[in-house]
Amino acid sequence: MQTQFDAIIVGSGPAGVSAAFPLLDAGLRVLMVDGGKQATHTAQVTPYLAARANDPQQWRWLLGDDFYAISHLGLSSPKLRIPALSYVFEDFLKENHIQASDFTAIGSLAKGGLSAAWGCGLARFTAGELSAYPFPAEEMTESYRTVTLRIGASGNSQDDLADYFGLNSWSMPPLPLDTLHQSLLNRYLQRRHALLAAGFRLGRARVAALSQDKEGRLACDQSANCLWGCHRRALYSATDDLQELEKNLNFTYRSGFIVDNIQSGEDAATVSGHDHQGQASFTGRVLMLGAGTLASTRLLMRALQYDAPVRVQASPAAAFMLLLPKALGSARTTGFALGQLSFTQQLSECTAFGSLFSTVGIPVAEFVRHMPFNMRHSTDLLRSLLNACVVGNVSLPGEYAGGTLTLDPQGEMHIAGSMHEACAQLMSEAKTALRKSFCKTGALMLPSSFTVAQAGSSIHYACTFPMSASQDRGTSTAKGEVCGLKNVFSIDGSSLTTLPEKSHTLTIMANADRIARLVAAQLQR
Amino acid sequence: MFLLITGASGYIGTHLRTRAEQQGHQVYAATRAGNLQDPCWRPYDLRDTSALQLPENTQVVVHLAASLGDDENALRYDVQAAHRLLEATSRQGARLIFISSQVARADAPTVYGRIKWQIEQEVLSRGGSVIRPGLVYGGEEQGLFGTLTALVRILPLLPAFLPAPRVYPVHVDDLTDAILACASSNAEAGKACNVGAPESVSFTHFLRQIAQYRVQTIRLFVPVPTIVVRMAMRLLGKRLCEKLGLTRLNSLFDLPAFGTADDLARLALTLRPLAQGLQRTFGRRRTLIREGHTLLSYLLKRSPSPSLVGRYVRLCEQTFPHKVLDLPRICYKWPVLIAALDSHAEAAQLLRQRLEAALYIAEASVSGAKRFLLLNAASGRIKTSLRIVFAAMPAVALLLLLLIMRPLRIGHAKERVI
Repeated sequence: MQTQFDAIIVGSGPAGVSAAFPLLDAGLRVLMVDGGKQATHTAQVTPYLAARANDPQQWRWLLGDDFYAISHLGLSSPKLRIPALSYVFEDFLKENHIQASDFTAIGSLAKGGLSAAWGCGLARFTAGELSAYPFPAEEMTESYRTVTLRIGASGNSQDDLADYFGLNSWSMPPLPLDTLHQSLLNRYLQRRHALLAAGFRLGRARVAALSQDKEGRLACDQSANCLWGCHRRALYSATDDLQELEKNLNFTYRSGFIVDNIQSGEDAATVSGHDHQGQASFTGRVLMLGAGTLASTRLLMRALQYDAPVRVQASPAAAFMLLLPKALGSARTTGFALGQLSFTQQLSECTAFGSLFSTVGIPVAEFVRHMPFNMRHSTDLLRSLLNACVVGNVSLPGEYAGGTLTLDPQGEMHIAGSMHEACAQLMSEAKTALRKSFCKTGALMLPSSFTVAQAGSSIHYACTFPMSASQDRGTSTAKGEVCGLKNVFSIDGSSLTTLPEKSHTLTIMANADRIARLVAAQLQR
Repeated sequence: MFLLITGASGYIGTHLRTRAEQQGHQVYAATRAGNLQDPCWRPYDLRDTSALQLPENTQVVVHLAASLGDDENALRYDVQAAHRLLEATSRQGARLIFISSQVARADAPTVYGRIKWQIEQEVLSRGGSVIRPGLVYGGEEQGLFGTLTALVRILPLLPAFLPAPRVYPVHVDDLTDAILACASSNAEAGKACNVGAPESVSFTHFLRQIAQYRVQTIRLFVPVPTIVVRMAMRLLGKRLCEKLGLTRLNSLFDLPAFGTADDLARLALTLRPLAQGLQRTFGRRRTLIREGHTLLSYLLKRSPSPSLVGRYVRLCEQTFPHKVLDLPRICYKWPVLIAALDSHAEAAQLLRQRLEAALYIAEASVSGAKRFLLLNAASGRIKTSLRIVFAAMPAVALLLLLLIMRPLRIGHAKERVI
């Protein structure tokens, strides 16, 4: 069969671009399609606090000309309400025919996918965490290395999380800590032995944010604009790679093309979909699905005519707030607004992982509206209190929460979220343990601030068609090829075998790179 | 559109600014006194003779600033000021809209009227626009409307002049609509536009309507022949008359007929009926303005800027159509009392929703950043701790108080559909 392309990649997010590089390096012809949504706002140039103090038009970027931030107050995470990021999440559920109940379903039709709005958390799965995967853990090492070096990581530090993250050898130095985080870390080091004994570890966050300039992107300048758009492009976004890919003559990029169906054949695979011009379909020798776990799963279920429900894993997550009494009355300063420190806490049957963030860079209203007092006095309270607070999030392995995916005859996918019965118990255990551990580092967990979020809120979805050696329907092979769909490869979260508590984006990217290398070798033969 | 409003803090000026900002225009307020930190403020004084520099992007200047009284020397400044504004606008390619008066004409009995006419001539000859409002009423009780309302409130007996002067009332919000319509239409260049009720009403009727709809009382009217007043004024002498504010009556007695229908049609405007405009029961827009002002004052602990209120109104109109809050009346006077409603565990859903909206709007401004972020440098641990205690105490006390008073079920916010 004559095909126009060797490989078709669906999605220009972290998975898609990571798969594209090895294929192009092997001289193969690659077509990439994506939803094509693009940023509508320009990035903030003035540091956050200076802009807040002086910009009379700040409501335009804080709220949006159409008051997007206020009309979407129903969305739980502040990030989902940032006007400049609205394009990232826009229309995803509608175009992909996904409906969710008791589950936060997020995905992207944007150029660069969810990496246009991600938390930049990086981690490598350890050999132990990869033990359930149907291939030797070493097979991932080269891919981890390639991807980490390509996207630019910071956080290199010989701390107690060095092995947990496993990225030191490929990372830049860590970003500077603000005074609150520095004080936490100092106290931790003073009481390290007691805390280690209690199963608590604290260290630098490993993030895809530059601490040194890299190929046209500039190092973080601590302006706290991470959520509002970094004009230095210090935060990695897959669009950075997309620019690189577009220089390759073998690379065809079709933006704004929404895939409706995929079809597998004996020696080719086809995507059909639509753009503003109408219907179209493309055929390639292989098809690599990186549309994001939820969207990819629906396409796979349709292609397989799957009538049984599929289980999606989604790390359960909680958020809390810490007060450092020592820091009361200190000045507000801007800094890196994503994770500065990370921690792990050993629980009875698993590990909890989380990061700590500065409250600068988030509107105070976000905190005021969750206070148990009236808003006027809450504002009085928080304006003084927040300078001495950091926010934390914590997540558990994906097996403790998730959703059931079913496809109805009209092709709509329904997600019903649920928590594992052990989840509530583990979360309450995490709350107590973290309260005690942080107390030893000089931080008080504010009463009633520990809030467990709805299933799916972490936006860490995975394991719908997990890689396994079994060759069973509903799984993928070690090469990521979906069983029952020859030449169709799952390269995003759907094919992960397990979902540990740590950030999984880097593993998705490394796995996409690994699969693409194997596929490239196969296609070249 | 980029507008510069002189006299933006006056009766018409404040309404015009709010309205213009609601419609998404960028407004510079040019007044004598202002907040140096407000980037939209420009110092402006009629008597300042130095050359005037308009903000670069100004497209239209609405000239509202004017001297009061009938002193010829004072009013000369107005002529020079208008001249300077015309120089500045033509340098910049902007258009001047001069807000004149119904009494403006070459042979007006007052200096005021003649001066206005003189300015009008220069403005029109240089491609500017002129708007002649009738008797402006409505909104805050300011300007002539404020004086008249105050008189109706105080005096048990009111004069019914004979023959009754005919007035052409225009609601201040209708007038601002007319000004903005004129500002956005280049066809208005070089034209004068009369804005007032198409049918005149007698001055006595106007006062009676104020009594009935605004002050909500009954007033008796005593017939007073205008000729008697004129004689009295002659006896009192010019200076005393000016002191007593009687000179203005001359304008009233000498009001010319005022054709407005054609001009209103040209601007596609229909004015609201007098009774409706005077009523205290607020229309939707005005209810939202009052509501926004109250909620924002509650959160900011100070009067919000008109642009914040404008944003609140625009948001509500876009996002939560058809419903307004019905707060207990006392809250409009003392916004802090909203704390009691806001602390109710079962605070009305709508109140909560509106407060959250107001919260985000309040914070997303320069003054809001000061209030919410405490942007000053380090303030020390003890001071901050005290601040926290002082903030927490009333909040907790209020919660306890409400818990105790729970059986009494004090007032709460209701919803109202408009």
